[in-house]
Amino acid sequence: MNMTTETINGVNIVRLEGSVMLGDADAVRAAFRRWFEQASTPRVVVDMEKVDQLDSAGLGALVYAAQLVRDRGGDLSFACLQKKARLVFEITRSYKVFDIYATVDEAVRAQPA
Amino acid sequence: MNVVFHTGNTPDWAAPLERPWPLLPVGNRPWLEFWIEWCVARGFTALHLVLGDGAAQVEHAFGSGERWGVSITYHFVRDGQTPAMFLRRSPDLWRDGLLHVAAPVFPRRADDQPLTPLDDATRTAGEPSAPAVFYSRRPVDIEAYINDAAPAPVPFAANELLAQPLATLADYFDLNLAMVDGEIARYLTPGYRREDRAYLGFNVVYPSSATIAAPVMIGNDVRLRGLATIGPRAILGNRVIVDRQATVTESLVLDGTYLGPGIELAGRIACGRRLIDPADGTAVDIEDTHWMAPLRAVGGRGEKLRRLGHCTAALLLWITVAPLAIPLLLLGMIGGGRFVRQPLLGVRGSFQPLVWRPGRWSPGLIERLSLHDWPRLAYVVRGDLWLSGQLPVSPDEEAEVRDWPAYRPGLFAYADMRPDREDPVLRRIEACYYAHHRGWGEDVRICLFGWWARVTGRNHRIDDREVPA
Repeated sequence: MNMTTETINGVNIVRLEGSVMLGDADAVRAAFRRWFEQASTPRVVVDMEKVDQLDSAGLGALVYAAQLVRDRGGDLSFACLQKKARLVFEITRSYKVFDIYATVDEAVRAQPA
Repeated sequence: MNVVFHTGNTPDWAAPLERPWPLLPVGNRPWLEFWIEWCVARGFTALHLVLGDGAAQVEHAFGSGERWGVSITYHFVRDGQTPAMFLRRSPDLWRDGLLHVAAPVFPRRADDQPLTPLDDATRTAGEPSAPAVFYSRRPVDIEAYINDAAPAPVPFAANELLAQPLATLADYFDLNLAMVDGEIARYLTPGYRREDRAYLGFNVVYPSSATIAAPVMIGNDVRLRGLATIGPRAILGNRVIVDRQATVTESLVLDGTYLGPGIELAGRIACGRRLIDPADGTAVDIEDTHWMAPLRAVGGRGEKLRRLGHCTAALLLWITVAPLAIPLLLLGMIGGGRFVRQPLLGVRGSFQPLVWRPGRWSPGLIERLSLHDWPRLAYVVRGDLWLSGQLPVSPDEEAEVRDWPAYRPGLFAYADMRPDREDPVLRRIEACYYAHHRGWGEDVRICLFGWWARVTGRNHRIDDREVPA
């Protein structure tokens, strides 16, 4: 699993790559926490375009990230979910909890100012 | 009249479902079963199944055909052999009449009117140059057909045969939903109990907190757990477990699938760990057994280690409980209690363990604390029982138990946690459930909760079944 970040229009974009599964979930949590402690703004979009596998542990890590962001009064949304991750979000009802957008641009525009 | 089905040519769209087309469930029944019943309704009883991929599964499912009153003969084709080439191998066999189903089509009925008898005219369905279904009693036409010369086609009338080709997974899914919507009533009695458009199979167990919203079809040996919601327009196959708070609507769940807690399935096909979107045929394998998984069978790796764990735990319990059990049991025996031998089916076959029969003045504490099971711990150490598992059955039930996905007779069982511990339906369902959930954690849970249910008296008295003279 790889995680890279950038900022677009004052919104942090977190790009995840690879599988976010049992073996990677702790690394995702730790990497996100480390990065988020120094992040300039609590507005975050997670780009899932290159996430090919997601399981319950991985989803737990994403929920943890969302909780961190919301605790700081920010907002976390997801963009570019691939079919597999989309189905996982669907069957676990996560789509009811998170905002999901087709593209990163859409997600950035939808972030509250 | 001979009927020939080519069963080895499963279409590409069915590949994610991982079974040959005759076994694909339509309205919870195998596809080919509809064809067999169509043949029976017309008096065609000599059936030939030409096997390819999945031959063993098909043969196991349909056997000799005795169940339908037909005779089924199995044949094999070599790679690259076409259906017509197979027929040419023994042309004399088909001379008196031939119904040839060369491609996977479904014998759909347009309405619930009786089928019209077929006369002697030659009929075909599908492409005239390569018909999916061919029917004829005329030797000249049959010979022409098996020699790849297209006979003059006359299509089947709607109430003779509506051979529906299924070209995509979406067609297959829609056909299933049409069945659950009520079309199944057009076909022969499927053996389900119909009540308010809810077709329930045998051994369906659900708590009062589960919701079944018609129309719905549920197969045999299905267990729903608390707050699960099934339907409307949902089909669950056989041996399916739907865990707590899961929801299944407008979906098809194939045999032997486990759906985890809180899962929501809407407009999807679930097949073991595979989740399929019927709209575009996308199939993804969910790599998480907490969400979706094929139902497991017990055994395999870790079985010896588990046996060792159960033996060790039983030995430790035997030693630690002895100072309390021995005096109380002696007291109970003075009060008229006694141990008798009762035949049970154990891990290694039948055996006769000691079973406690309380006397008039035996302390009730003996059973409440499960001290009467103290001698039985030795059977766990010896390997005749597990410490936790399923309620042991009598040796007379050995044949039935062979069909269960798991039989692990244990000292403590799920049955200890409920009042009606001898219920045969629940025992069978628990066998499925235990097979899938078996693990160290589940075994400990059964021991603790089973023991606590005995302590609190939430179950019946232990070992209250009749002892043979």
